[in-house]
Amino acid sequence: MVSMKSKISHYFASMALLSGFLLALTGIVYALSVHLTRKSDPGEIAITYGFIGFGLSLILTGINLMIKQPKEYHLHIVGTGLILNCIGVMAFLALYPQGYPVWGYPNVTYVAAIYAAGVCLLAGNAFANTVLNQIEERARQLSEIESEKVKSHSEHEIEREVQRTLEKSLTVKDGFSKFNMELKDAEYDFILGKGLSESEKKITIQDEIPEVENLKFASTGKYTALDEGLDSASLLLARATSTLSKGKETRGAFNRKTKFFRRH
Amino acid sequence: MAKGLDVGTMNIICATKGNGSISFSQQRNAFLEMESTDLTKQMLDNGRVLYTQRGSILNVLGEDAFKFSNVFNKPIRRPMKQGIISPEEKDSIPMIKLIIERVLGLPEKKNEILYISVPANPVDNQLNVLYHGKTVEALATKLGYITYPIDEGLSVVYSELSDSNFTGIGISIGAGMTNVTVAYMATPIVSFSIARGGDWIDEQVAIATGMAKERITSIKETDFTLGSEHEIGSVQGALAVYYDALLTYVLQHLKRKLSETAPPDAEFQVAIAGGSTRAKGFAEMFENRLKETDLPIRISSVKKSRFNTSGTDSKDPIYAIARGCLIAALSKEASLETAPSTENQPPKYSSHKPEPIVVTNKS
Repeated sequence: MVSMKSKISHYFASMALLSGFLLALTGIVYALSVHLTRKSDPGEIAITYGFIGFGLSLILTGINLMIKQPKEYHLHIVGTGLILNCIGVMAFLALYPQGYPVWGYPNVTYVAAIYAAGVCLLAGNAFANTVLNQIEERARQLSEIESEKVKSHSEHEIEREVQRTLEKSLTVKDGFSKFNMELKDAEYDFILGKGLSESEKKITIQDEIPEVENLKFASTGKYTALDEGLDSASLLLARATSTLSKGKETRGAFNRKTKFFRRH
Repeated sequence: MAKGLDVGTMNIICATKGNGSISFSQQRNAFLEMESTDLTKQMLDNGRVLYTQRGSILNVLGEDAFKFSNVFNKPIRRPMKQGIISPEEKDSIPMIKLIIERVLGLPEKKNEILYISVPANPVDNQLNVLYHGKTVEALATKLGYITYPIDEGLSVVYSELSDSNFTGIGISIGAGMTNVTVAYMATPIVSFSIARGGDWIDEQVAIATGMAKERITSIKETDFTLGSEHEIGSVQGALAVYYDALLTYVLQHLKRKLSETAPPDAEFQVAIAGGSTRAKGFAEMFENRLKETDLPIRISSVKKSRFNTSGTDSKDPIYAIARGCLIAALSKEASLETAPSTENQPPKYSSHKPEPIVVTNKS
């Protein structure tokens, strides 16, 4: 449905453009055929500029209708422009043949202003839409290029890059010098008070510090845990294995006896 | 047994693991100069006050220095300034040495591992932390420890962000500096410090209100709650203003640093620690400012170490850094124990480097 609408729109735009060219051409041919001059008959002048005026309006309308992805109020602007142009041409056709003073100030100004406004609307709308579409197209192309660049890195490459950055952050950026500063033995040049000979008071708090195991796990990915169940199971297994082997020895002796009896 | 040491501008704290417990030994990193008389010395000895004597001068150390400072209205001297050893204080290194020896003690075994918190280089100052770090390391090495420096912000991550697999932002707001580390799976991505902290707030409030800085510190630590309503001209009001200014400053720098990197697409939990976060209402103010900052990463929640006024909670924000250092030390010790015997000798003076993370596509 959309496709059909698009086709009709394109057909209509083409027809408008072609008609415009034909009308303008007709106007020019007519002017040539009647040898149009400034002093020609007002009717001839009116017909010539009527054809050319309508033709130009249709050409601009056709161009506007051919624009892909038009902006908001596009059709309203085109319609207004076309109507203004038609009013201008019709007024010219009506007023010009009557000569002065009907075709004089201020009527000439009104007609010219109305027609010029229509042309400006149509031409300006076509220009604005074209420029905006070009900007959007460029932005889309750049975005596609960027996305293609991102896609060109595989997950493995990204992981390797992250790993390299992390390693670099742990070596180059840590900023700690490896210089080993050693101090000479130096005696105090002051006497210590009695209080300093006593040991420092300590605050003791119950704290299992589970963070140590978590930190080891975060750093190495390995978790060490005491598992008494595992230890006892290992012990039981060891005992069972030892008992089993003793039993096997007994059975072996017995087997030897049975074999002995069998021989006889 | 491994240890963790937090060398802060205001406090030096050592964390040691016991049997299902942690022991913290702590000392104020400050001293006060006094005239020496027989009576004064006798009084100090009877009160078990820590002091040194050089000629006719007594230097009272630690917490007592603050108490005497308030009583005698004398300025205390600080071996450290803006997170590093103060170049303006000639007695800074002997005093730090004395305090470190006292809180750290001797190693219980040969080649005992010690992780020491070191600030990152500040982004708003020309200070360089290398000399400070090396000096503190050398002091501990002299006692017989195998030392490893660890970023202060990362130690907050180790201490507080275990639940989120050590992925998040560790912020330590201390007295001299504010340290920030953004970590992903225990690996630091962004690490920086700001040469402003609790001392900067005290200085600005002292200038604004005309009171002694030591008095401001005392009010801040004992009688201050961050809120929106304060009396006109009160110290508390000025403190609130400068707390807000500091937080805004820190978060703006964090936003800028994050915009310079490409952090991974993950949820980041924020952990705040350090002495300057002990003020009541701090976490709420921080959360509000964080929401307003609009960082270029997803923040899941803000976590503040639980503060217990009895001072017997290892989750006190002041202990978080030492605890983080201890976690790193225990982890390192365990990894060395499990490593082959040829690698059993730990490399000296190498920084804490978590094992490289292998990122795999889970899908």
